[in-house]
Amino acid sequence: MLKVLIADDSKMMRVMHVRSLRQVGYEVEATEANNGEEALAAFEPGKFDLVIVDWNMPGMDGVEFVRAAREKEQGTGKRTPILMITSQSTEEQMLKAKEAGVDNLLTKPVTPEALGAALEMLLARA
Amino acid sequence: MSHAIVQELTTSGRLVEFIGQAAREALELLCGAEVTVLGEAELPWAHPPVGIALVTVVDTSGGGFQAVVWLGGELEALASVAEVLLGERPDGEDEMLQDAVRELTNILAGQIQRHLASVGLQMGLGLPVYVSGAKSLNVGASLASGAAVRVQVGLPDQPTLDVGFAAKES
Repeated sequence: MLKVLIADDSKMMRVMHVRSLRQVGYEVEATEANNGEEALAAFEPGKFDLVIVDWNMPGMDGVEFVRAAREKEQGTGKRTPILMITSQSTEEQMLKAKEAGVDNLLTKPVTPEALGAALEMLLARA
Repeated sequence: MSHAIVQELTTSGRLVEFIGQAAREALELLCGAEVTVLGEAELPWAHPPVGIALVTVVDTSGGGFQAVVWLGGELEALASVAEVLLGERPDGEDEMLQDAVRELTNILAGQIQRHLASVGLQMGLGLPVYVSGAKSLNVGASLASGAAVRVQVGLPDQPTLDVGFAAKES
């Protein structure tokens, strides 16, 4: 069972991410968050196998959430794989996301196969 | 300088090409159906589609323009596309439909952002906003450097949608 925290202000995207993960063979237990604040409240080091986060969200955005989540992990010896799935696609933005602690970034729209391949790499490294 | 690039792209027809490509790339992958560009559409300021979502765009390269990307259509057309993505048909203009149209517009804005980056325009994207049944849109009287395309999605009821980008000097 893959425990995944999905933070996206679009319900449609949260539904699509879960559906895509199931399509590529994962059994999923999803915790959904509508923005960075909700995601940070749900996030605990070691609680999830994966975090999927959007960038543009009202309130705390995805990059701010990732920075805060990585701070929460400091000193615990745990590091949850974080996959950002966003419409933002410039190199500068990708660099900023990586610097915040994002492990991989995919640009929307994402096929189930691309999501599965990215996840496989992330989980292999974890 | 950046706004001059937008004007040049508009007059040369390349902006229409970029928008059409972006629409095909995003909607074909998401809907699993062929997307046909039917031709140019009107800028929506005087006669907006029944349902329309807009993403504000900020020039981050220092040149100075403001812009919006939009997606709009009749409710039945928007509902048909949303149904494919959500797995259930929205009930009229409910939150599900509005969420789907906002997110689609966000994705389209990202695709257009990528195309414009290839000609030196660096843009940041704002949060999408859904507008319902507006008689006109007051998003800046001089957002005149722009273009829109009408696309048809190869779903059973052949929904047509308008996608566009328009900018003004800031």
